[in-house]
Amino acid sequence: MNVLIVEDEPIIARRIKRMISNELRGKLTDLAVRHALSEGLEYLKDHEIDLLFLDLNLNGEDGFVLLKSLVASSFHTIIISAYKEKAIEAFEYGVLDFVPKPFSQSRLVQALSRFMSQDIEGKGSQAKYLAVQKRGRLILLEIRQLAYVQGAGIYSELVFQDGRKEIHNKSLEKLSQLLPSYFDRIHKSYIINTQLIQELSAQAGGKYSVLLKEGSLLPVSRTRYKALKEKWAI
Amino acid sequence: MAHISPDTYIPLGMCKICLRFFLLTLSCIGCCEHIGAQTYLRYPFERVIKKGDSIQWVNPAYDHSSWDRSGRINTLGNYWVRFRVKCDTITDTFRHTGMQIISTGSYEVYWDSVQIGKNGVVGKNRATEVPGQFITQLLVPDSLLSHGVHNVAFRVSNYHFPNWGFPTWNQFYLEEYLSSQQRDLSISGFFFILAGVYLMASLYYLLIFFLRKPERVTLIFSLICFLFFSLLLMEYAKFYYLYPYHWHPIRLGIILILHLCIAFLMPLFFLWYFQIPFRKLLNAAILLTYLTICSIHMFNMDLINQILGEWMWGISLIIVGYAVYRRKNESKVMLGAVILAGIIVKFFPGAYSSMLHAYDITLFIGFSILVFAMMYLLAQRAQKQQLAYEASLTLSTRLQNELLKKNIQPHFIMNTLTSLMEWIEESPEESVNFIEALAGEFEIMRAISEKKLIPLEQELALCQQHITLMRFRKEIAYEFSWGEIPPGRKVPPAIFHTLIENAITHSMPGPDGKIRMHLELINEEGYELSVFAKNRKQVPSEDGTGLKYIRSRLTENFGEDWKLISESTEFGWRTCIWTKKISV
Repeated sequence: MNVLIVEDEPIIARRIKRMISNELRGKLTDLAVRHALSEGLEYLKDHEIDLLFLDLNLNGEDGFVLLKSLVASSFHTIIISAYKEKAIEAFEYGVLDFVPKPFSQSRLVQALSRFMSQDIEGKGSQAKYLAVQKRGRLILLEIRQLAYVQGAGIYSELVFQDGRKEIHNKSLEKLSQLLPSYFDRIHKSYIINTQLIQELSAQAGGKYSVLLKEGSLLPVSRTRYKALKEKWAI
Repeated sequence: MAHISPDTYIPLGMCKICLRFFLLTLSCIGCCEHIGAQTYLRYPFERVIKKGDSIQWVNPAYDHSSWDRSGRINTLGNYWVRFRVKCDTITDTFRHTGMQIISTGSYEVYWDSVQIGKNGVVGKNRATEVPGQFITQLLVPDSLLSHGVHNVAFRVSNYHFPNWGFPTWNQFYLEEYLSSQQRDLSISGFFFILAGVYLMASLYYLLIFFLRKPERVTLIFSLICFLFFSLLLMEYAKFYYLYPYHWHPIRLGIILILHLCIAFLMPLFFLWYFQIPFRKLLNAAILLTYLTICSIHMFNMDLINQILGEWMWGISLIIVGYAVYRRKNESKVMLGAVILAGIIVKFFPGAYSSMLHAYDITLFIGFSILVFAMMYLLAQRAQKQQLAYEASLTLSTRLQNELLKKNIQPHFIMNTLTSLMEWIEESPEESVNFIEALAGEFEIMRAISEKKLIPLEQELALCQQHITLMRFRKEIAYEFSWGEIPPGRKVPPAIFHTLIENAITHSMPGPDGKIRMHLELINEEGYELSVFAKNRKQVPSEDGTGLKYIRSRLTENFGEDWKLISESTEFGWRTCIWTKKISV
């Protein structure tokens, strides 16, 4: 597992590094620290990472600029910032967590555990947009308009209610951590917007499916079917 | 410097009330004049004069065809003036026919050889003469007033008249007994009220001058009002104080001097109010022009006053016109007032009595328009100053808040606290020093937060504390040094602190691993803060919040009297500040 810390205060960077090392121990393959935005971007060009710790104010530079371009990436981002009021905006852009300064070991561990436990499924996530890189440009897509997400290996395909499709660089697992609570995993390859469920049906041969309002018919795995039925009392 | 407080201002509303009162006064005068114009006067149609003294000259039959017809002489001594006046249906309308006599000498008056009155005692020399009044009223017996031409002879001596070269003269007219005196007094009444207004205005602006900002225009205006008050008093003195004839030239002299001063001060006010270039040179030129006028028309007081008034008007018009051309504040209002005053003086000379020259009245009205417009200008200026003062208060409060916020803004305090947590967890002993540095900076900040200027030594201590703190936070070897500092220098709070914050944020250590900062004093008023380090790629913009704070502080303290240069150098960064010299 590769982690990058972008933080201009050396002592704080050291603190984050120390805490992550303590917590992740053997799981960590690489842990890099960069003190400026440009250095961080430089590092990302040549390195695949799984998790980014980002400070929003780097020697006067606005970390938000970086954040907006990074949320479309395959890795998760955790913000560590002195500006607590930026938290909501950061969450809207789809960061995994926002750790306000000053922070203790336990708060950082909490953020890390959110990253580690793959099945958390974005409980309480406030994300409003998903950022997608398209022809070199970053576009923000409204999560509310999303119908379902289909996993495609290390990528995901976002399908919107109007039929539009976009490719997102995050895996289905990572997106499930970001999407708000009204999204549910129904299959190993599908996450749906449960607000759009029209009909849940069981066919012969133990096949289950869900019909969404915009017309898509998607398969539901047996284990998920029960949970879904209970949860939504359909 | 005294602070401006709102209650020392004359509100615009009060100005308006004054203006209304003034207009009311004018209309009252207008009414009086209207009534006065219906009163008939009968002037003599002939006046001849001869030096000497002979009782034969009282005889109406005496032939005076060889006498001087100018009616004036320039020497002291005894002389006779003979008039011829006609009595007809006009004089019949008088219930009691009276003579109003103006004389620059003691006299005896003979109506067709009958002595009907005297004024003082006519003498053969200064010792035997008793000076009479300048203006007298005389009742003419009805028995002498038959229709036809009458001879009126004055036996005069003027030994008390000042020997300045003024001509001496006599004049009279027939009218309803005492009627012109009543009218003149009632008109004077209104002008005395006006004079009172000017006196109050003068005192008020004098107080403003002494208690508030001593501004040149305020003093000039106060002086103009006082001179105008004095002029009104002197001008109308002839109606309420029956002074001896030989005081007349003295009164005229005083009036001339008052006219001269006003004619000089009025353009002076405009020059300074509108900040016209070459003011002092123009002042001298104006004064020279006036003195030339006075010397050319020596002893013709009425003419001098009139010419002075015209020149003053013309010069004012040019100055205010120039101010309008340069788009100066309120210049259009003033131009309107100058033009209006000119029109009134030039085109509204009503028919008043002989003693109340039309020019006197219209002059005062025109003058008053100018003075009230000037008062309006000053009120506007005061209001602007008040607004500027309030804005400066707001600025000071804002800067105070900004200063206090420096230490509680999240980037500073939260990063500091996070670093501190790390220090405590990793090396608790060192962290005590960290906390001390933080407390030290807070303490100085608290002490200086409400001040506009602080001793340079205190500012440097603040910088030093900040650098100590940042050493803990950034683990960079910051060094801060300064050159020789003379005692007593003062600077706005936290301006170098801000520059050092900028240096820390925007610099990277050089090859020696250090960021060095050095403050050097240039001459008496300049400061140069040099940063020796590598600049980060993103250099601070000219109007970054830090520099904005410094600029606002400099403006707050020095107005526009400062300069700031902030630029990158081959060694790093350089900021230079020049201000006015500030000592304890």
